[in-house]
Amino acid sequence: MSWSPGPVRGHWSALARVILLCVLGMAVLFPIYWMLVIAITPTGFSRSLPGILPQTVTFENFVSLFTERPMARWLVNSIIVAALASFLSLVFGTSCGYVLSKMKFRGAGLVMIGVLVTQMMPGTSIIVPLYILFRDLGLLDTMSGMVVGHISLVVPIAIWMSKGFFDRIPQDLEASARIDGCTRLGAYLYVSLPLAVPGLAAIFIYGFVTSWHDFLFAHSLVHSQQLWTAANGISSFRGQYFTLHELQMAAALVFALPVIIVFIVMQRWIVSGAMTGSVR
Amino acid sequence: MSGVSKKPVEGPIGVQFSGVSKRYDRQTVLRDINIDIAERELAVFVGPSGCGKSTLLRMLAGLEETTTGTIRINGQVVNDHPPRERDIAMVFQSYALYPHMTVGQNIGFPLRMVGETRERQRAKVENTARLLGLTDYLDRYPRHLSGGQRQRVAMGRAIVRDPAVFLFDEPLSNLDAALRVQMREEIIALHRQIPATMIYVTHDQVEAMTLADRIVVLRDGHVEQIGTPHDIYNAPQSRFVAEFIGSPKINILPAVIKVGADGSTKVTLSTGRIFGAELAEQAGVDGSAVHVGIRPEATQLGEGKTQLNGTVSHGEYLGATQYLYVDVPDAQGTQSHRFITIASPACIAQAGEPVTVSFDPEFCHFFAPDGTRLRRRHEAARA
Amino acid sequence: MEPKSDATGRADAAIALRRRRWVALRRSLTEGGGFVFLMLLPALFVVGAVIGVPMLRAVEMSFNTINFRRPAMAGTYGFHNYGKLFEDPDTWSAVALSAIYMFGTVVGSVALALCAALLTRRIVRFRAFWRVVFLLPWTVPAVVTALVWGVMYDGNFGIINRLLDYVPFMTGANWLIDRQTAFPALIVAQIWNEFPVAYIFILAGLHAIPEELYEAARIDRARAIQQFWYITVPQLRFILAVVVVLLMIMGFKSFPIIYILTGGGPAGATETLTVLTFNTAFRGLDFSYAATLGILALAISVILVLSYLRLVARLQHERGGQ
Repeated sequence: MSWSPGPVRGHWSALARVILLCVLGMAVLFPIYWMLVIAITPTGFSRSLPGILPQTVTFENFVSLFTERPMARWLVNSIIVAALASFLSLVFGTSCGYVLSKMKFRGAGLVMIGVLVTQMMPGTSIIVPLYILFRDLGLLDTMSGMVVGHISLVVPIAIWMSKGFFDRIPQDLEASARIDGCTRLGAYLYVSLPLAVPGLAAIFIYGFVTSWHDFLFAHSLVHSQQLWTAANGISSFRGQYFTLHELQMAAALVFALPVIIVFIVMQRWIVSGAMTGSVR
Repeated sequence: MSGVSKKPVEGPIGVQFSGVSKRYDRQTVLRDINIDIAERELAVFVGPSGCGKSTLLRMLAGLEETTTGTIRINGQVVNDHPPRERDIAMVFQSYALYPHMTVGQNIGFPLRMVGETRERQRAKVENTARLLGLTDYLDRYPRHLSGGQRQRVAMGRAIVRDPAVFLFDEPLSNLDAALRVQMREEIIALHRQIPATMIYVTHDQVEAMTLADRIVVLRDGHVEQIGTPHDIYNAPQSRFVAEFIGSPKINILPAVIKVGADGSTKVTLSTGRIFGAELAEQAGVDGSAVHVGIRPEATQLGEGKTQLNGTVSHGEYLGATQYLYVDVPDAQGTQSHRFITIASPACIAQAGEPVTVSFDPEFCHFFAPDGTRLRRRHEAARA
Repeated sequence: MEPKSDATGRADAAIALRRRRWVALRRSLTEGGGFVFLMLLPALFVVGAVIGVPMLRAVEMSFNTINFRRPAMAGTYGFHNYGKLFEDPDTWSAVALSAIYMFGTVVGSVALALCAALLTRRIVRFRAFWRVVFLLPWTVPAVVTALVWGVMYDGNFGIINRLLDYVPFMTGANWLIDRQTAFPALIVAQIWNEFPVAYIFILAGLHAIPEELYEAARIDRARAIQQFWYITVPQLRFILAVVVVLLMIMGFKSFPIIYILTGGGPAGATETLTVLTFNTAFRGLDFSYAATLGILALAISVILVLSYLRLVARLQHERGGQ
């Protein structure tokens, strides 16, 4: 066998790649790691941490979050609002996604562009008139107002993503159902909808997370502290306890962790779902 | 010449297309289709891909709208009827089994939709399953079945309801060759057992020939010819039909027609060979170019009535028989034509070897330059 | 059979007509346009109520004068808000800042995502692990991103300044308070939060490139850089274009990170169009002008969405053509 420089060079470049990858990965993960480190450091001690390793580990920040601050209340509010907004969006949006996917009708293109625009426009464009409307209707500073506001965030996503999932159901199944004696509604209820159930679950989760993460609506439409959602609640810590990094980070961690865990558990599934939602 | 030939099914019309056409936006995919299919007949729509055969079937099913013309099923105009009101069943190329239902639920679905009682549903499903040998699979899901079994489930779902018309949209094209032959036989057996009109769409001419009572050849959105397999094969009404049906493909040679003073017709092949033929319409054909079609099985190696001289290009050995590809040069020697003949499998021909091929002019087909058939005198007399 | 009288004949005809109409209506509802309408109805109702009505209200407000500082002016209609839109230098500074923000986050995210995707594409072991690593920031809420980076950017105790102490010739800064550094600091936080979106797309795009192309290139003795320029980049072209527009939309929409970290300050140095809109309404209390700014933002996003749709259509066309 003749000596060639190829494999050796390949070996070194592979090693370089691995090192580069690890450095990049650590850099990307660092903010999350740092949030964790500060969150478990006793109040006031994070500023004197000598390195990037935690010194004394404590859970007192979390305890004070739930005992001295209304963190539990805010989390419950977030869950209620997110579950309702996501569920209602699914109920109202799925059938629209279905006809956009499976039926040809005049104005379909316009509906789709409209849906996409509403999904992609800045929330600030809608929050200003919504505030005035809610003021007139007495919906300001109410949980139902929050749910309605979040539906406007989630419904376009539900329509767009459910269209993507229905697109994947073969046209022949629908045709077959109609020949076997179904009306359009029957074909939808007996065939397409049951097959779309995993997709609908993905949409529900995605919608839930969208509502859970929202800051703008939560910050604008509700004033009373006991009605805040968690996003608004924890953001207030930066203003109130500017220097209390430990409390801020504990709150941030509590708020972010559920979504991170759900993501890690179901990452394969979510990645493909998100791609359908946005590409198609 | 013909073995077990099929007679066209007589009787009342089951399915009728009259003046049917289909247009998408600007494109016309079907124009002025007129087909009458008798009750209990098995009609096959055949044609190359894109000829509109599947669209025609989907229009009959009510899955595509009919732009103009009327479609009748058992005398009733069904243009505006949704699929479920047409009393049809359909087997799809993709089988279209409901993945979330078991085999039993799949077969029983049409019954459930018309509101049959549970007991009758079960009885009928079990009957159908027995007929198709699916009894052991009733509780399985489609994803656990083989291709052939899925195909059977699709058929079961179609026959469970005794519809007036069965539609098959290329149902066998996803199966392997051996299974395809087997399923073909089962469909023929099914047609014998179930007295219903069947319409079968395929691009495979062998399927068309073996299954059909009558074949409808479609091309570019119009009907090219309707007839029994025998008629289609032996009296193709156009060069297209002649070339589409039959394997190996028919040989086509250019020729010129000369009408003699005594009324006899002489055909001069481009190879220089001259033979006589009696054409029905002689007026205006004098001196015109035609195409002569000769089926490979109507030719043989060696001397005969009409001969062509050429060189062997290559052979295709098939075991029971052998196709020889022969290059036949023009009279001028500038061009040559590929000519297929059937030789005995024992024959060993080297590439480049000179051979003589002969055929009987009686079995030639003549086509005008526009592709239409020029009839022989005896055909015209019969008509 | 007796011949029918004229009157009963006409009555029969009327009954037949009514029955035909009833059948047509039923068919439309179960199979045709009526069904489409019924299925669209819930979504149209909700979208109309929670988006359509507010948008109409926004248009009305943009011609009105709803300013809580001057409540007496309400009901004064005119084009004054649109006039202000073109005259106010703050507006155009906000649009320019939004453009810079979009540009900065797009370039940074695509570069980072491309590096990560190129490094992870051929990895066999721990593939899912690395994918999770580079997607994780995407799952972090913008609010949390803002808080974490706020803590890290802290001028006195922040980890960034402390780490910079170890780097020669680099000194820390008061990142979010200094006019020069505040905006780039926000862009970095935004990049960290949104580059995973680019990463998913680019990784999928890379996996779609047939390996034979690289094998052929290696046989033709193309070096790694050449393979990148002559195979990877052209093959990724459209995916990259789609990602760029998508990230532009995300950057344009971005609100919580900027708002929480700087609120638009110092002295308007980070006041993008979205933050300006919010501040005009909820700090300036000029809701009419804020609505006008919202309409401007809407117009810009319509342009972005239309270009996104065109790109996706071209991408699918390209793929279908292969």
